[in-house]
Amino acid sequence: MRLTTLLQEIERSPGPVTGIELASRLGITNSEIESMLHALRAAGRLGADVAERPKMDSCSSSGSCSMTCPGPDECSLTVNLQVSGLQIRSPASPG
Amino acid sequence: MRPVVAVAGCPNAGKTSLFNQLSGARQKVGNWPGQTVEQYSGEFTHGATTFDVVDLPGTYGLVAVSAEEAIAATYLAVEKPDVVVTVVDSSNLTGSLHLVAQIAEAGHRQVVALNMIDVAERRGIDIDESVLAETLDVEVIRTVARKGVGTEEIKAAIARSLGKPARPLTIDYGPVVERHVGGLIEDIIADPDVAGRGIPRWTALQLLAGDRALRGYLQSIPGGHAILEAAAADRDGIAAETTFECEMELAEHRFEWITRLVSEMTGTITATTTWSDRVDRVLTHRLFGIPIFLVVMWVVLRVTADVTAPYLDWVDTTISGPVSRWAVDLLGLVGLAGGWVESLVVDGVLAGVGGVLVFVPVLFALYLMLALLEDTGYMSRAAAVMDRAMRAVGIPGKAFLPMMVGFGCTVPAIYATRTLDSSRDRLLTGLITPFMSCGARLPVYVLLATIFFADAKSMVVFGMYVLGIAVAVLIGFLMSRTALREEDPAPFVMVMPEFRMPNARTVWILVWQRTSSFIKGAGTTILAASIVVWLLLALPLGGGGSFADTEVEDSAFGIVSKGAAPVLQPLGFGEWEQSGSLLSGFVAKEVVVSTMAQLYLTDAESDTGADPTFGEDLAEVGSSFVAAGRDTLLTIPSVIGLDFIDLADDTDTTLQAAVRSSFDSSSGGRGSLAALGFMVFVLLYTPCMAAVAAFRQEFGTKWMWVSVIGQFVIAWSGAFLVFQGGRLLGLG
Repeated sequence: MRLTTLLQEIERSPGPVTGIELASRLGITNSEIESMLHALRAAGRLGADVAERPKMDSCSSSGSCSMTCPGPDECSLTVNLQVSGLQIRSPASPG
Repeated sequence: MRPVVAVAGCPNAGKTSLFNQLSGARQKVGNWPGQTVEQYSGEFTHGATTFDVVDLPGTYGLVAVSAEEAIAATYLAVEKPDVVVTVVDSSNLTGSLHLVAQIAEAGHRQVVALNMIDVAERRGIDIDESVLAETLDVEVIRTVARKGVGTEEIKAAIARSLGKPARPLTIDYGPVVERHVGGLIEDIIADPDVAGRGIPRWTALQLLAGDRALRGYLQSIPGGHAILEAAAADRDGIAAETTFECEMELAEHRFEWITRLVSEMTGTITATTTWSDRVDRVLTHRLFGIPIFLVVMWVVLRVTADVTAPYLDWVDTTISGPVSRWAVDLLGLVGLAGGWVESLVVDGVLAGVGGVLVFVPVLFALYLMLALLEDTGYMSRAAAVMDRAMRAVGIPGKAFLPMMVGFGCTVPAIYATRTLDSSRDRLLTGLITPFMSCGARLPVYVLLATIFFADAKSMVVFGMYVLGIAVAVLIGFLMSRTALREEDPAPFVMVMPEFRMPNARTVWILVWQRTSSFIKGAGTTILAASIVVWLLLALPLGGGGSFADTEVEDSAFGIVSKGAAPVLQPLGFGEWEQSGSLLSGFVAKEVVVSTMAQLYLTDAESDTGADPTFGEDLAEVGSSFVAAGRDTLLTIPSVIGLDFIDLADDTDTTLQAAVRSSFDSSSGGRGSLAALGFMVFVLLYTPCMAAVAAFRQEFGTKWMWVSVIGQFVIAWSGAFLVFQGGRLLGLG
């Protein structure tokens, strides 16, 4: 299985897709998909979907959370889904 | 000059654990030059030599795309550490060896730590590290960095490798790429500035791979532009000759090389399907995924609403009985009994804060169940399943991530919309996220469901959660067809953790943090709100009376609440106590319950029996706690339908009786319908002031008002449908 095939399969996906879905579509195992995702990350073609995190210092001075809220990343009430996202990236041409 | 050791590795490979083992307590924290990313450095001594050691940011490879990758790549290229220790996840060799290969190609002196070797052994992966050692001409050490296994061997290997010349790895990238690399190497060698950056073959490969950090460097030096132009021409040439993008052609060859190497190291060629994969296929199944998610939710809420009932009663009895008596006795000792101070403490603070603290066992159970689901990895599957369903109706792909966060608290959920790609997706998700039932609404559901639906309490609470999702999906669907039309969704891979047994310590930390956060909220926001409500109740505006000695209906709170009550009359809860509770609920949803406790308990008759002594109270608190524990254990089997205990108590507490009577009276005898409508209203109207502020910060004032007014209209309509629809059908 070529990495390019996996990349094309991801590009064809309408929105988010899981490793299990990709494995089922391409007829390979989930661990093979994970290895290939690592390879695509190492090649710079997939990157972590890290969104800019908000600053909480401008948070409201009223309300139940504002007095103790340390921010969404540290907020103890935040449900941690343990999902990380990978988005396709196009490395810029050296030219 | 001390030798410098850099510790590199993929995220989660145990890099930081090994760095900590090497450097011990002697660590310095700073920032990488020009970056906000923290830099950790330290030192260790082996034999007579002291080494400086630097912890590089986690990276999958040396093609700089993210800030972390750029830092690692630039540090290795510019600082040229004497030795690089590359930490590898032994249970995922194919994924981890890209970095090892690239560091070897870059010509660095390297020691490889086969970390988490215990995990690999448990999974039956038998690794022959001599294959890797011979192929790369490096030392390969088995480690379990978390436990310090292999640390001394790593130090010895570092010391030995100092005396050895580095032998760069050469991977064959095929005739087309190799021809272009050869040409580019000649250009690089011809320019001393570029040639000094690293070994020419690696520089050429990095240029062909589109490395941003290297491009930035070349743009800053005189001869760099010519080399960049040559590299661009080579990239185009490779793409034309191979019909693949240049960087993909490089990645394919490297991946093939690594796959072959791993099969030689482990003796296996085919990848196996793990039990986690098999479970995943069921839990994320297109047809079964959603029913399984609903069953899991039902179990969570059954445990939350039913199993905790004995402890809920215990806290309620303790606060309304002994604690209130002790407070009054204490005030009597300092000469403050019988006045407005006693009223503030008993009717304001204890009724308000105590009314919310009663629900600590409920929240504890909810947080425990959520923590178990998180730590096993189920929550990520639930997100994937619901995400697929929501995409089908036009709601953006990643919307369910913030929506799941909303089960805990709406404020971080609104901020979590930043993970979405377009402003349209962010706004749409921000508008529907508040309909997810946050933890603060749970006390309202449990209070009313206990009073009006004692036999189907957990089903009613479950229904509220499902209704929240349904309304969010419906509103999202309508908006994506009208004001916020759908755009092409962005492709995106969701990477989920493997299923695992929950770790007791992790679960306990999560539960404790969340429960203590709720208790802190009761001690701050709820306390403040309770005092404000008490002040407004004590302030006479209509009729006679003086401060703290007025009819509640004639108080400032009563007058304002009466003004709002007619709006709610068609919904079956148009009495001023009910409208007042909902008004105060704008501050936070727990305040609905604390206000109810203050309003309904103010005029309640006190027990005329003889007060027990302090010792009798203490003994009663202790024995009732033990009894609550026993009853809870006996209630657990009821989750699967085995009833060993009947906790149904036909006797309402004072608060319950007052609430029941109020809803019966406001609805013309249809108290259950009105209570159901009230819960729907609480579910759908503005979650809290903090959520409104977060929404304004993210989406602006105009959309904030759209959100607040929209939620009110939807809440009113929902409650109207429940009450008036139920009446028409002859229910309640």
